[in-house]
Amino acid sequence: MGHAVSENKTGPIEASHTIDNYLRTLTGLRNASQRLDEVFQSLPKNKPLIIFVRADNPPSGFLGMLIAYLSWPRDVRIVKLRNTPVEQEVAAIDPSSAAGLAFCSVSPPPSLGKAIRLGSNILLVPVPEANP
Amino acid sequence: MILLQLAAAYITLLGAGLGATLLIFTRAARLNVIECGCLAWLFGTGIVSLLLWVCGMFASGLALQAVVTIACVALGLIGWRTKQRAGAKFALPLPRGAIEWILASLIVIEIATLFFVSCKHTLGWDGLLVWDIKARYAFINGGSVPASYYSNPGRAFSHPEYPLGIPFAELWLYLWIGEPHQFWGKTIFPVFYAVGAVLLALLAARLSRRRWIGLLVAGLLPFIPFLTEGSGGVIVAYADFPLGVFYLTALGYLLYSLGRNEPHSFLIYSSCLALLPWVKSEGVILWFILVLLGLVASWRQRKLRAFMLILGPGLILLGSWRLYLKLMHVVSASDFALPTLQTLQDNAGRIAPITCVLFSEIMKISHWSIFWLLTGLALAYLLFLFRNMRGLLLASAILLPIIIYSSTYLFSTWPSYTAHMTSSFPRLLLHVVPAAWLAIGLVLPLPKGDSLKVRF
Repeated sequence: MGHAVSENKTGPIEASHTIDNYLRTLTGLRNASQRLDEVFQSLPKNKPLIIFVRADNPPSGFLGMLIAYLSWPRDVRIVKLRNTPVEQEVAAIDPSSAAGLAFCSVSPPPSLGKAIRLGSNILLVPVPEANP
Repeated sequence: MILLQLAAAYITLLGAGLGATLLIFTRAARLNVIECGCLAWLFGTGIVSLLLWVCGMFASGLALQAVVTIACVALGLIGWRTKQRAGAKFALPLPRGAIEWILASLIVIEIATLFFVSCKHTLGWDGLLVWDIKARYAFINGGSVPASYYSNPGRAFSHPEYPLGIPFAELWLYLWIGEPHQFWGKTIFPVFYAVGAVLLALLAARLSRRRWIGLLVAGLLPFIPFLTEGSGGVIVAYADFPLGVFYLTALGYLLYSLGRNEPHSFLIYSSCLALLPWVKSEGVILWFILVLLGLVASWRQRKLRAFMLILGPGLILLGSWRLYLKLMHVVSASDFALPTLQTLQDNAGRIAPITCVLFSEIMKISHWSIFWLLTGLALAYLLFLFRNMRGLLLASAILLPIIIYSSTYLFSTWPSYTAHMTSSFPRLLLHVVPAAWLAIGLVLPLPKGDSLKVRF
């Protein structure tokens, strides 16, 4: 128990204490839960967020789950990239069916255009709402 | 302000639990205040989480909080009035002699340290992504987990099929605080540790008839590295140790009820038994094991009719939860295949590697120190040198979960079933750790036999 007593420090006593700690470690982003929440609010409503993670990289998978945790009440879909290139997985998605594409430790295809960088390991590509 | 709100959450939860405890102890003339406090916590978390689940189907927000608060206060008052009418008196048993005082002080220091360490650490993987996630979404949704959570395949990683006992105890705190607060929500886990340690001391002292033995095993409890530092331990807010505490309590009171005409021990056993599947999915396995042991104990004591009655609450809870999940169209992570004879036959080659992983795990000093060696010696003593009903039931309660848990990996769907076992099996072992300490405590005085001897 001595090791557990000596490591870390108490607090901060904040509502998002745990998730902010994890996201800061994985992405370097401070107050990440608040920042991500603001970005997710700006995405088109009632459409799912597609999250791309690397199947062979546990931090990438964990980051994907943290994004899924924070993006409630939006539906999410986690795509685990194994041997298929990301371009192929992205091409299989109907743009009108998603609010955005989040890439966790994965480089998005250049064809998607400009992405929002959220710390060092998350890139978010919003899908613009089609005009009626 | 937040501390007052937190206190209100804890007081109402403990009030409901104390009410239930006092109703169980209706015929007792003298009530151990520490025992009542510990049981109040276990029953309180069970009652509040069940009330939130059931009432959450009809009410939300402040109305839900008010209904559950009124129910908690009413239960507390009914229990208190019953105690007053029966003329029962609270008693605080104090340690006697220097050794007992030293051991009791050690337990208090350990509990305080666990609280401190718990405040320093974040929620672990499961603590956040399996338990807190349900409490958080329920809070955002006004007090009930939204139906869309159960059916969203993208969130299957968070095991939507897991029961709500732990997350709804956290939710109760969130409702009072007014926000899903990961720091304060986590405080329930060191409380489970404190309750587990004290109940272990009480039960081991009663069963061994020596108080110092109870205090000694409770004092040794945190010296298991995996319990205090491991990825499934107390400080990272996993449900495994709380499940172990419910299991210990149900088992301990079942053993204590043997040969005694005290209905309350059997009632405590049955109440904790009913709550086992509500704490974690593996609680169903522990429920079946304790039902089997209870059946044996009741058959030998000719109390089969009472035993059949106590199965009701657990069966109703299990059935209701399964039905609820079906209605919610739950999507669950498929870590295990359906256990069929064909799958068993196909995977029979896994038996030897699984046994190897089992022994390699229990011999891992960095996880368990010499705990499993002590348990092995205690089991050998109980099974071969000191064969009586109590010893046999206790040994079965330790061995059966380990055997069944290991066997489940025969049906693992992971690409590497040994990797699956290595990652989750240590946590499952935590379920039997308090019960194993009880076995160690029972053999410490090296008993020679008593009136409960089994004839072979």
